[in-house]
Amino acid sequence: MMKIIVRLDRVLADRKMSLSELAERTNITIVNLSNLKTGKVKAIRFSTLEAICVALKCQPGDILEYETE
Amino acid sequence: MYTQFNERKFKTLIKITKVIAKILFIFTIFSLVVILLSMIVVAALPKDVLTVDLSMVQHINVEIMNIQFRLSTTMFTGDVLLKNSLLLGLVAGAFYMVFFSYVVHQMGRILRDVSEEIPFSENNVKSLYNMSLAYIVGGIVLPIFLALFSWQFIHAAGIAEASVSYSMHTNMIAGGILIWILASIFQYGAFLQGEVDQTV
Repeated sequence: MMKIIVRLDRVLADRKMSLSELAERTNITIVNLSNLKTGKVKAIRFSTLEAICVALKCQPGDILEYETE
Repeated sequence: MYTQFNERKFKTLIKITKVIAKILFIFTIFSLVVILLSMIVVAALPKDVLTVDLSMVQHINVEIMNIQFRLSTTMFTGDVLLKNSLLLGLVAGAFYMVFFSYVVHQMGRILRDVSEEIPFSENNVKSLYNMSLAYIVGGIVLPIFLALFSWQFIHAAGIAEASVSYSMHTNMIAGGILIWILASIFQYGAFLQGEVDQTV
């Protein structure tokens, strides 16, 4: 079970931005962003993380959370 | 390290190979149909229609490993009933065509995925494993039909001096093992592809 949780939906809601708008700003496909949001991905490139942080004006820690059980 | 890759050349090669594979597949299926129809015709014909008088034959040349042997006509005792030999020969031919059509079909599936830019797919791994199994099983089983046909022929022709032995197609079995190894490499490639696909 993945312990790294992606809180992209939370940050998108705070910025009042849709997934499609984020896709436009970052040049990442909606499918990939959707997979990222729903935790279906295994890894994320630094370039992708950087593009998201630039678009959402946030820190990587705002998007990624480690869940301790 | 290979950093240069001519994508256009590769895609052209794959396109040509796909066409060749399709033509070969159609040819093997057509040959199989012809063989099956011939079997029905031969089975229906009376035995005396398919007889050959070998006493008129001057000599018969047999080539084994690039050496030509001239067989003496004293080996042959006149009329030879060919029906059973022909049937067994057609059965052997049918099994060879089934093998070839199966291998070419698997090859076609691999080429289709490669042309869609997914060379390391699970389907390609399965196709390669299937091909390797076909080669290994074919190398063991197909010579049985050849041996049966040869035995029937020398029995029908009354060639007392000849005998038939069974030997596996070791080059086919070796080829099957090589394809098995390639399939394992592709399986690892499919795993790595999966890892890449799940990376954004």
